[in-house]
Amino acid sequence: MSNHTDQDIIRLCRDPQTKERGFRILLSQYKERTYWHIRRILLDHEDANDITQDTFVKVWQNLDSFRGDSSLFSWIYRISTNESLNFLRKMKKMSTVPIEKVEYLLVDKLDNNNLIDGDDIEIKLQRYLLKLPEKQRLVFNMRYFEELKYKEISEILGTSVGGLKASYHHAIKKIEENLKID
Amino acid sequence: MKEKKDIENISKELEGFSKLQSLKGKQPFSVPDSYFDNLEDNIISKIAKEAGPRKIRMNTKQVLFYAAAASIVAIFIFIAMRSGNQDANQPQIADQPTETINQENPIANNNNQKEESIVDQRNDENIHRIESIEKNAVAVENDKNLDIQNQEIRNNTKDNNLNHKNTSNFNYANNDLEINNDGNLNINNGQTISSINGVNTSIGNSTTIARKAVHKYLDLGNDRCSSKAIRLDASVKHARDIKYQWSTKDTTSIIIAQESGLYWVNVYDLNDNLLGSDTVTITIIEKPRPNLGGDRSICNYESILISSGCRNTEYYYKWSVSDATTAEVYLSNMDPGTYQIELSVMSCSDTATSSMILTVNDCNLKIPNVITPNGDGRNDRFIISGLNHYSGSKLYIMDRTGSIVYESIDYKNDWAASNVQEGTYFYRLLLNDGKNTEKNGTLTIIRK
Repeated sequence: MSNHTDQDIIRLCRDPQTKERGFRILLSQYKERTYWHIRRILLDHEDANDITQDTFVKVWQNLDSFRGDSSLFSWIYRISTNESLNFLRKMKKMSTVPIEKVEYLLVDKLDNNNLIDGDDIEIKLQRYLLKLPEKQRLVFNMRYFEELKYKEISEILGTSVGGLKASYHHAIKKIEENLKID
Repeated sequence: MKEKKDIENISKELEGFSKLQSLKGKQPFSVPDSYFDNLEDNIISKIAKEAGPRKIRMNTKQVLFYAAAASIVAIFIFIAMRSGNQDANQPQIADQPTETINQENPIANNNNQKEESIVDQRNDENIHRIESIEKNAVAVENDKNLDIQNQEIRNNTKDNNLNHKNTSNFNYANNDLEINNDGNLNINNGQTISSINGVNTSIGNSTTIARKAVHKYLDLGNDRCSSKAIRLDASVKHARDIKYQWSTKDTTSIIIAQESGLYWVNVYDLNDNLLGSDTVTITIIEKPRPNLGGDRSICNYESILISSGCRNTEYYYKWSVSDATTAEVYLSNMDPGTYQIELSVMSCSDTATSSMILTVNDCNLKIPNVITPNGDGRNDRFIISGLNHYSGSKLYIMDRTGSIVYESIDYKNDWAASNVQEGTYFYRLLLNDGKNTEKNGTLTIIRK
């Protein structure tokens, strides 16, 4: 598959005649990354699937207003991050049991889910991630798993690179401590 | 003892680190077979569904615009007919145009429409025209404050009675024109919400419109960081009868975030239906005020811990002498010389700097093994270079029989061997370096 640049995609999407074609290219280019990004936040496949679809519906609806002052990729990431966090918040709100942290809802998802199946240690890592503050978990995911540059993460989350480095550093420290104890 | 503990700690730390390294890129998640192949089509069909019975966006606006325009017409007919009695009976005059909004092609259904197209949308300029509305009275009165921008209302037919009293009061903003069921005419995109009291047009409903406005305008902005409190503004333009509920329990549209944290706001209509929400992470960090203290000097074999004078771990520290980004740096194995140490501490958009001068002295001792105290100005005295860093060092000089010919409890590089003959002597230097290092050697004295 030939790789289209953001500019190509945006140009196609601007023209109503080619918007759908442009959007399909956008999808094929970004759907997997976006899905995995969301999945790492939400852990559950069905949830991630829903939010991935919602994200791209939003992308479609707002393509016209995309101003291009960040890369298409970080714009999509930003939308998907917000959608995911909103979802978690909603989940928290709808829970019948009053809960302090979304973590407890997500920990459940790690067990007894046939689409989550890895080494013990991989699951443990996910469990430790859930202990982190939301922001640190996000930064950790993007830096560690997705290997994004700080600058890119900064565009997505709108936080300073310095702050991100600090967050990542704290996250790494805590995770390492947890891994050490085992 | 302490060292042993350190080593244990380090190896533990390394263990955690290597575990983390070995996990890199691994995750326990999987997806159903060929999930990604179908994802694209699922999304496309979801978009199609979201779009509902309308075919494309452009048409929607056209429909809305037309419906609204037709309603206005109808409304004013009504107003014209029954001026002064508006509140009674809640007339349903707008029924016909109301229905057209749900139909695929409202234009074809309208009786006023037979001769010419009523709405002519020029896609590019977003210009809408209302042309030749026959036998309709369009009255726009000042106090109705109808705003239309980028639109042109034209009246071609002599029978029409288009009263357009004041240009500024008849502006449509762009093209999102909607009428809700409590008689409010809401014009999105623009600046004004207009209301036509007492007329129930029942197009759309307030929740839908409020939701649209919330969707469009509710924006707490990017996550951000500041040294001062941050104003969070959730007010939604053009939406009325909405309630705000913040994570802080506030119910105003604007709050001031005094401390770091995640803030969210939910917007509800009066029936507590959630219309939308937004979230923002606010970081409030006081301005960094680094202070490296005064200039310092050390020996080249010494290490030094330089502290920024700040404790906040949220800051980002940049040192001129190290890649560390921590609040303190530990310097060791420095070459002798003078170092300007600069520190920038960044937080949010604030950067503060501090600097100091660190002098690293060459404290390696160079002890000569021969001196020539003959008054020629060269090697006349027993000069141990570097000794000046260890004041209080003891020096003993013995002859071959072991008798002490010179001693000093604080040697100042001033012995000129004036009281002794040529020959070989022994020195014993007890260095005042905290460890009482002892240096022994021979010293030959030659006079020529």
